[in-house]
Amino acid sequence: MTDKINYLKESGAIFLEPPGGGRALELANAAFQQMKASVLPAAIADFYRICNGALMGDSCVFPLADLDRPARNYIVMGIIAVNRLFSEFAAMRGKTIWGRNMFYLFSADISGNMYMHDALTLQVLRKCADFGACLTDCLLVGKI
Amino acid sequence: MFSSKQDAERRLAQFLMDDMPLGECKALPAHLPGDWFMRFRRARAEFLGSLEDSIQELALLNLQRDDFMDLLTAKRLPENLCLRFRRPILYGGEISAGNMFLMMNFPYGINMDAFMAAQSGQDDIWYPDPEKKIYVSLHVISSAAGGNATSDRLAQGFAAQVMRRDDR
Repeated sequence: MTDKINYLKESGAIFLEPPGGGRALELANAAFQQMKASVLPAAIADFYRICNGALMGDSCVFPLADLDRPARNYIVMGIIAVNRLFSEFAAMRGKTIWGRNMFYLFSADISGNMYMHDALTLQVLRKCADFGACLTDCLLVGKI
Repeated sequence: MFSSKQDAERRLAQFLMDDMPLGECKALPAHLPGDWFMRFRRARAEFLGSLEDSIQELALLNLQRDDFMDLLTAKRLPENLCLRFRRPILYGGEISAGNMFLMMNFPYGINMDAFMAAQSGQDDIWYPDPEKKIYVSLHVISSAAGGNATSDRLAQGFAAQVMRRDDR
């Protein structure tokens, strides 16, 4: 994971500071269970222990909670708010959206499977188990 | 699903985009050319290089000076801006600069994703079709960031000027 993050940093990605307190992950998982999404699998939980999401152009890995970017005058929507927004769609049941770029949404289920969805129809276009590869695919589109 | 255009407009209003004009097309999946990504890259570069005529809207985005200049010189897309297609290329939209627009990613871009996803499976699709190259919600214009920072006051002053001009 660390080598992927280093590579993305070198490519211009901004990795957000990890949340303090250590309870944010548990609170997010509790919220996901309430909205019939999935608790975050181990690979993604590990990622959130290193950082609180990432930004690259218009690509994004959502932070655990809404995050103020005062220098840029906006608030990055947190992963809970994003999943609440999409919780009405049957295609997202049992999955948690964690990333987005111009064309695709990225989600995960409790077993650690990663899904790449068409952002327009939410249709699953790809399924794999490698979070690092999906993270790279998600963010690098923001650099083209 | 939206049963009518009014239904779609109502949903957009909930997302604070009640001033976003809508276009309509049939939801017939179109064939994507093999080189669609290369075409997209060219169209994206062309679009970003054509923003000199949208200074007024750019000013309303309240960007930092570096971000403003980088966007104006097509160097990079600043944080919280996203490029979107008007008519989706999946439903026959052209991969061209003319079929693109720029908007704020949070909360508008992600809300637009939910708006479009809600139409999945419909026969007719309503898609965002703003008049200008950059969409700035009226809610942003009428409630520019307050405070005493110079950029905040400049944004507020500029927004007030633009609104007065639009009223005439």
